[in-house]
Amino acid sequence: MNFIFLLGGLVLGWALGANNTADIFGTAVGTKMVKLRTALVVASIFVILGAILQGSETTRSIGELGKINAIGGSFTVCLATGLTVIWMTRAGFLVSITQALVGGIVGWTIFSGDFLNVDSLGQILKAWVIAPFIAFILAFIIYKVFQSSINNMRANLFTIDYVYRLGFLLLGALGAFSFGANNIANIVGVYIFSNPLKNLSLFGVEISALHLLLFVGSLSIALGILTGSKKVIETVGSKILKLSPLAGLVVVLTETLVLLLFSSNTIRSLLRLMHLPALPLVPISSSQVVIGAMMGIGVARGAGRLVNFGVLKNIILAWIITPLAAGFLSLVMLYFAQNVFQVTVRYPIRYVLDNAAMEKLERAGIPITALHEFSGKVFPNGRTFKMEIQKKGHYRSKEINKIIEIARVDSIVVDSLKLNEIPKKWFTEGELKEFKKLHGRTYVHSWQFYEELLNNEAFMVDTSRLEEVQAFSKKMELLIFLFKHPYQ
Amino acid sequence: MLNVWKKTKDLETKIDQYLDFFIEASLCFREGLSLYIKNNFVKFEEKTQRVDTLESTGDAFRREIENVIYTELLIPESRGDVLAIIENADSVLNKISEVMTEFSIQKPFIPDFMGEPFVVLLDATDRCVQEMIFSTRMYFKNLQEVRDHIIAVMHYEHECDDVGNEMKRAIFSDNSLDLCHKLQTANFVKMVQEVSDKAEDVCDRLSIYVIKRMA
Repeated sequence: MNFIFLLGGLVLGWALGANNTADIFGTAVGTKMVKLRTALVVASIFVILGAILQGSETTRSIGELGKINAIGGSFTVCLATGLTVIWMTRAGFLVSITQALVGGIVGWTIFSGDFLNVDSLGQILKAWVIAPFIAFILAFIIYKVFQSSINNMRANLFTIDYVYRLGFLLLGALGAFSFGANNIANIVGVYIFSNPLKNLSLFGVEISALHLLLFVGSLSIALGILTGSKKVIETVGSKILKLSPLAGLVVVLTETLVLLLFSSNTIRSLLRLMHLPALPLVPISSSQVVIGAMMGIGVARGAGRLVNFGVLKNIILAWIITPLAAGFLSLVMLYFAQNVFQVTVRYPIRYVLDNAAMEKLERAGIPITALHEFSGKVFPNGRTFKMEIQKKGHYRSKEINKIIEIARVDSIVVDSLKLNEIPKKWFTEGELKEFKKLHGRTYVHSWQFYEELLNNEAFMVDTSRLEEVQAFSKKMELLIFLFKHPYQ
Repeated sequence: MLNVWKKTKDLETKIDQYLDFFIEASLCFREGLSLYIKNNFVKFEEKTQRVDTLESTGDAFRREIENVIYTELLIPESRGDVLAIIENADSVLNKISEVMTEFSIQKPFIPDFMGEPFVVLLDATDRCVQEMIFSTRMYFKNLQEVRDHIIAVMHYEHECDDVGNEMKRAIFSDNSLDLCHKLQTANFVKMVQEVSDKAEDVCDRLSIYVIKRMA
């Protein structure tokens, strides 16, 4: 069964490879600076390298699909998302896996009757609109600066050409490497604890099951790159706007910068320090950024008229259709998986306002007087719980979200034996000893587990250092996924 | 990647060598016709032979450059312009060869009073072609300097026009020559003038390609 589940991830992997290579190498191929064959080979090799060398680090976070609490659900959403993307890619659309994945997860949330956090969904939607605009402005500025600098430089045509080629290949290889490293979690992350693959000994070299899983996952991306990416590469490379090599490089550079803007905590803090509005740290689509950047360059070159608005209209339409289609397909497939194939696609999520939750709410500055009548009562799902709180009418939307988050029952049972499923090097000796001590301990809410470990000396987290807290949170995400005992 | 670097460098060298042919052909043109005026026909024929060889070797080089650019996908952004520049420049080399061959075939009579202005015309033509080659080289090596050389080309082409027209006037106002001689000599002056005209045409196109690269 686990093999079949893994198949869902591999379909998504293929779709990722087929669709996202265009963001990395589309402009390089479009400007004829890199041959299509070279681009495909380099992208495939570096995606695999990124997934294997760096992926075991990033898979410590279990990826977006970790939000789904049953492996059968992850598989179905994976498959629905993958199929949506494959279908759109075949039609030559440049679609976003991130968008499809968010759509798929929303589909699961609706299906499972759980509470849909409209605020965080709104933030993601906002980012999807803002990101291409930021890319537009950034690309416009970078292009203008680069253009005038190159004109003032006494550079040789052949040297410039070679530097462009080198730039495209290096940025492309780097992009493929980090693409492999960052996306492998979305493909095989949820399967690391139900890994159907076993340790393998090849010519005397021991290959761990986890590395095999990463390799198989990355292979599915590479296969997607080699067999399905040509059409989308052509759309990005030449159908929207005829790009010069400089413009192509600016697009790739802008893409890297914008993705960083939406994922770096340091930049977020800097923006705040400068009293500028901070950007939400949410998953954005690299495809949208690429299109935004292209438009910026089109205007910078005074060639806005040359932009193929027909293709552009299709792309924007695809941005709207993708999450909706993935969400809808997930809903339908989840229904069939549960009712026809008898697959467990969700475990119910309960909510309870016990004493610990009440105290936590008080500490968070949320008035609890109105909540006393719910004290100790178990709510069968997030939707009912939310409706009950709303009836009280005292709370703002942010406060309601916080109450729901704190009241969620995760049922954590520390089982130190389960840690054998994770590479030993992910934890220190002290941490492993501590888990043995905590063996058998239960926590109703995941935040209780989180707080206990955060204050535990063995974990040595300096809470004043953001990176340490972030690394700790990632580790916790994985542990919670591992120790969670959802209601059966 | 190293392979691409090598191929790019080879292409650069090939284009440089191709442009070297123009320098030599232009010098042969000036020296050869100067020798012709001094009635040193043997040396003149040697120079004509040399220009002929340069022209056919140049053609082979041009074809090779075109092949390499297209088959190896080199300088994709500028390859259309580069090929046009090379094709245009080729017309100058062809013209030089054509004029010298005509001199060799028709052996026109150049009156003594035309000797000095003819040398001035050849000098201006040679400088015009040399400047055209500099501007073409600068298109590849340093875009900022192309303009300076294009201005020089315009200047020498204008000088060729002035000197040539003066010569034609002098021919037709001389009563010692019969009309067929006058027409033949004037025609040869016109043919020499056409070399600088061709060089000017090359530079006109070149300035458009420069604007394209700067935009």
